[in-house]
Amino acid sequence: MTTIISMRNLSKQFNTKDGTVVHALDNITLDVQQGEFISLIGPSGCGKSTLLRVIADLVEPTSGDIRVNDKTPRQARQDRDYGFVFQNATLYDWRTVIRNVELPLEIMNYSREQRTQRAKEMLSLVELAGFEDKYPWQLSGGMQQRVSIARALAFQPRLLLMDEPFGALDEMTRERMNNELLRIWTDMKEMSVIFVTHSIAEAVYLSTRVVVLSPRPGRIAQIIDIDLPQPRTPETRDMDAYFHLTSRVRYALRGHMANHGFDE
Amino acid sequence: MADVAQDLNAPPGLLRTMTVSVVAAPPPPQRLGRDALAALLLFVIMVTWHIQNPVLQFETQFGSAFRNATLQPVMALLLALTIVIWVGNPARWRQSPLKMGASLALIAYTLYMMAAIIFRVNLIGVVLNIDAAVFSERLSADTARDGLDAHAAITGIFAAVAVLIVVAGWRPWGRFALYGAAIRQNLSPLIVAALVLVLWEGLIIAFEIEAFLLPRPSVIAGAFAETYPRLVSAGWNTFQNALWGFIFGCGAGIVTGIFAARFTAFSRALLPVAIMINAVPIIALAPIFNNWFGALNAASKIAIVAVLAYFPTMISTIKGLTSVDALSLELMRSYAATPLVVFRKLRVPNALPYIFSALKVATTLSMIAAIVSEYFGGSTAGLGYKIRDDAGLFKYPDAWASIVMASLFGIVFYLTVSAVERASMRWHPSFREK
Repeated sequence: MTTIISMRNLSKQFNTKDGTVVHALDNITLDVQQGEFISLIGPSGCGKSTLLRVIADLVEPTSGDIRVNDKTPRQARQDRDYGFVFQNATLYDWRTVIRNVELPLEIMNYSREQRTQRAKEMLSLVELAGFEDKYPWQLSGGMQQRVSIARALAFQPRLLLMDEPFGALDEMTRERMNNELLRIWTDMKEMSVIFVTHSIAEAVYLSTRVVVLSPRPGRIAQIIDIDLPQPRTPETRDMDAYFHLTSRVRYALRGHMANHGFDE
Repeated sequence: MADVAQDLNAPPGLLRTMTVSVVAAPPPPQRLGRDALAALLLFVIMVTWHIQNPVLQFETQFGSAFRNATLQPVMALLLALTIVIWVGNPARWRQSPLKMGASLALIAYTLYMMAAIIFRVNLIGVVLNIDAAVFSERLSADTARDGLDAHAAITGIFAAVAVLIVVAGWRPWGRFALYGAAIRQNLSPLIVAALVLVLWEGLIIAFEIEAFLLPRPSVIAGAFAETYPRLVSAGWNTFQNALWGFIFGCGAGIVTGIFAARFTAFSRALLPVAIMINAVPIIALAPIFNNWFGALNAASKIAIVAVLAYFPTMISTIKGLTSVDALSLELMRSYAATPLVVFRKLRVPNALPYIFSALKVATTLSMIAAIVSEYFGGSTAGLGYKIRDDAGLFKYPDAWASIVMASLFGIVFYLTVSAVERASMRWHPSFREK
């Protein structure tokens, strides 16, 4: 297996306006293998989004080493090695659905035919064929987020970074989106996913490994291997092993909640 | 989404069809855009028929309204533009020979009018063997009028055919339900407008208010009907100043706005000063601009309009280009997009709503500035001069009629910019159609 991301003693401090220093990340050491589905879970303010942004080179670490595809994060970003899915769909209102999906392809100078073809493929992958010419406001929240996933996958990156992509959806839609994401991850062979969430059920159901982070300073509290059988189906949620693993994640989270109080 | 989500285990195909049914929109409501276009088209057909014939142009009231030399080619171009939009996609002509014939007849009418009005080559006049000089000079008592009436009749038939074709394509009799709905939707403002006019008329009669203080609406309407040929010409002269000032002022505002948004240090230094200058009642500088650019010169009027239109446009451009959603910017960063790409694909579309609302404000400001600048001397051909002159001679109903004409030009200017806005921002929530 090839290591796609390697982090060594990664730390990030923010200086706030009132002069205090926030230790968002402290001494993070983690390797991600190709094809893995890793969830970063933790209470809000534990730095999980910051860690994702460090990988994406949207934030620079204060100290420590990080390699993405054996390159600096900046180089990886410039080579368009990853697709990023934000918490909000972040679609451009003035573009139709298909033109939103084509956006990265336009920037990367794909030909018009390639753009249309690829965008159509991606839209049918996220079950949105037929919605090409709609505008974002004409879609529901879940559909908008699917468009943003199609956009992130359009240029076939080997790495997908997702920052609480389903956080704003209701529980029903979220479970359906989880199934779709798993199907896409299986379809896109050898794609690695880093998935930030604060839902235990979601993390266990989706991941091959769950990284539990503790807040202030953001540290890795525990890494839990999720050895549930693949492919995961809605029945997976009824398995004893599933309950056992969600409990383990919950205890790992709670341990640190106890240390820090419930002030989150 | 609720009923979609009930069955989580449904196969994806089923989910999709269910989602479609949830989102399926009601049929798009019909719009009045086509009616406005048809009305405009009928109007310019009548106008061009009147201005290409000296008899109609000089001896009818409607024709003399369009005697202004710079207004005539604009009317011919407006005819061409509306015909192009009306006739539309030539691929659709093949549907029937009737449609194709009708479209070609309209195009022939347009080409004839453009040749006659813009290039002064009146083809029907040539056929009738009328001296070409008649078409380019003002009619006088001793002008040879041979054939001019026959020419008016023949072109009249041509224009009537064009009108019939447009009306047959428009079919307003099938759209009464639409008009009814439009009136019902705007019933309250219509009632208020009617009430204001009735009250205005009634109060002046009841309290015997002197006509020079405030004429009755019916008197103003009478003055308007009597003098509108002069008012159209005067309004057009003033509007040209407003338009050029608008183009220069807003153009400069957008360019400096782009520059300032790109170099934030520059905008941080510039913006407070710009906002301060914007607070200066710039119209008060009109006499000084007369001094700079020459009172008799249109440049002094255009300059005052440009300065007035400049600041709101610049400030809105900076605001629109810089108030971009942080996540949208991060998305661009994740694609390693160059600043130029971010500008073109994110900042400009984001700024369009801001810029257009500034432009719409600028249309009104431009008309105000163009009229008021004429109060301080200069050209005697504009509406501002006419309002001042009529008021000085106690011809208040005429002054009011000029104000009505100024408002009409202002409204048309505003609606034109709105139409451009609508066409370039179909995606915007305020224009949601589907």
